[in-house]
Amino acid sequence: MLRSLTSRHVTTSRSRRDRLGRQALREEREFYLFVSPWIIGFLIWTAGPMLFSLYVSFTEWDILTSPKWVGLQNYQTLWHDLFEPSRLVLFRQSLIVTTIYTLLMVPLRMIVNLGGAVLLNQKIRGMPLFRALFYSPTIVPAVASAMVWLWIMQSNGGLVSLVLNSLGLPNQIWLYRSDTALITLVGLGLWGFGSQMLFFLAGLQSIPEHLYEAAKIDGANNWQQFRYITLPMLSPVVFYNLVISLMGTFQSFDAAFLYTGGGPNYATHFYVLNIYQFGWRYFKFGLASAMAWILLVIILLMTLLVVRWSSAWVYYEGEVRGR
Amino acid sequence: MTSAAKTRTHMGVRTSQLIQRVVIYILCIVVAVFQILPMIWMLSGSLKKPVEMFRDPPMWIPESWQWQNYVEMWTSLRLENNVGAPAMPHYMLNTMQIVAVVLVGVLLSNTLVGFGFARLRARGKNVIFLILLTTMMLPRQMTWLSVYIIMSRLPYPALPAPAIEGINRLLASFSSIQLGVGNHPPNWIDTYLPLTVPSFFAGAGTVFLLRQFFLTVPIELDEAARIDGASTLRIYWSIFLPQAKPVLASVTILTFIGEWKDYFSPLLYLNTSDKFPIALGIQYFRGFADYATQWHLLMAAGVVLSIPPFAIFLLFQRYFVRGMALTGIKG
Repeated sequence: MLRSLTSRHVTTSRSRRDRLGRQALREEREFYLFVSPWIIGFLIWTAGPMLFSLYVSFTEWDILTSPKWVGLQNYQTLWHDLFEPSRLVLFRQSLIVTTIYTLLMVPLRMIVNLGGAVLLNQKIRGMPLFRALFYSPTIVPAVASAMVWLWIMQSNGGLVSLVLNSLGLPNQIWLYRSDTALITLVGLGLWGFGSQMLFFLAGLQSIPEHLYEAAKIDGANNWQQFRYITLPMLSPVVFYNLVISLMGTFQSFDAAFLYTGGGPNYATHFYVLNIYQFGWRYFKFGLASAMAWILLVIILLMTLLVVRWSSAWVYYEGEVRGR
Repeated sequence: MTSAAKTRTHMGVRTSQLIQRVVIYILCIVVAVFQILPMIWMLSGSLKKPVEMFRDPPMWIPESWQWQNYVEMWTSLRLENNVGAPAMPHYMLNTMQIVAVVLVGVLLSNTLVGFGFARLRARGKNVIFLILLTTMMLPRQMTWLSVYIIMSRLPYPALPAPAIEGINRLLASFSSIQLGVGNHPPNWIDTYLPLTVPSFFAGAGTVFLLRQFFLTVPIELDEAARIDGASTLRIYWSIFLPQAKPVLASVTILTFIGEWKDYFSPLLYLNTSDKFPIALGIQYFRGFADYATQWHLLMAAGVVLSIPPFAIFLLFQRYFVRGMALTGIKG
């Protein structure tokens, strides 16, 4: 009786294992079927093109005729441009412009968005309305808001010039001068909060209230609470926003394309605008691809540096640290 | 504790709280005004006479409201390929077509892939998921150039001539519409295919968002369904999709707004102004130079371009916040 039971048990368990194995295999097959849109898309639109553009970066190609292998010539052209800048390459110029823009924009935008989030985190009536108003510039299509700002920034009769005139100052030509154009783009870029603010807000709302209560009992003032509770607790969000913002700002295109076209005198000639122009204006796909690959390297290096640096100031709750 | 704080009376605390509250209100109002002033200026500009656009001192409320600016903007004819059709409605229709197809692609592909990552076990899954996350970091400029080249090499998916003849014979029995033979573009450039087809292959960000949501669906639901003999596809379709309605709403809204605003991909792929979406089309009121620009019409076009995303944002604000929260950022 007992033996027959165990033997039956053994047989059922074996057949169940077979069935489970078959089931696991079927599940695996199903997984790959379900995920196949992304895998195929990754191969066609990402992996394939990346490798292809690596190949193109070693060629001279206008995409109408067949590509001509030139070895490292495109990279050499870019390297030479670092030391003897040329209007025909603009590699050094675009690197300088983009770096300055990024160095100014990333911290300023972060401060502005953090400020907005702190304001929206206050418990006062009408907050949903303020939140909607704060976020609304992001909703307006960049094309539309750029047109308004262009109108506002017109030197003769634009809103800014009119305000300056009423103060007895002359018309501004900030967007049309090579020494002020980039700064003006930074200023214009600070208008409007973005998803950064929403992330900051979510981060602020997840800070436990009891930390502030404890600090208040210890007599900490508002600034001390912000400095010693809010900022450390928020540091993972700061880190996330910093990485995303660095990558995004270094790839800026809209501002230069919509406001200045890269001018005046290449003062706002962003790196990505340069890639766009070499590709779609001059049909130098080889040189443009080389620039794109260098961009990837720059961005990877930047991200790596920030990740390294972040371990010094990002605080994760529950993280165990040595020493 | 400072001595000042110690000696504060109950009244003192209340007045300082009141002052703090007033300061917060003032700050909020100042910031909010700064955020919406340019948009109000756009609205006011769209209702001005051309001569009033640069008048000193600045005029916030037009002397007489020029509603005909909108009529003029809406009915102005296209310059190129002028077939006598108004430009703006045409551009808007183009945008609608692109957005509709993209939405189908985005919703279908991302839910399938997100479900796969959230619910199906397989070897190699973690590696694939890691690659997916990595692609979020890749600058899209990396692939622009080569994807453009690929699109310029892909043949337009035209039906073979006999099939078109067959369809035409069928069509002839009940309508006068006939398909043309051989008059299709040579490749994907200057068609909507480069703008729409990639959306059927899922994007890393949306997949991640949907996976995060699907992970929160209780496993008992699909186990029960499996015992009842439901197939995986059935579970995906009848259990997960209905559960995910709020997230799908978020995805729909974010995709719609993103596509509505996008001028960049059309700029790369479209050459004929006939095919422009509205975000690219409003540039048509921008002259070859600033002095040739019809600013009042440009502002009216800007308002029309901004209304749909704005209305959707105001109506569905909570879906925005949910979409943001689900991408999994934790403080």
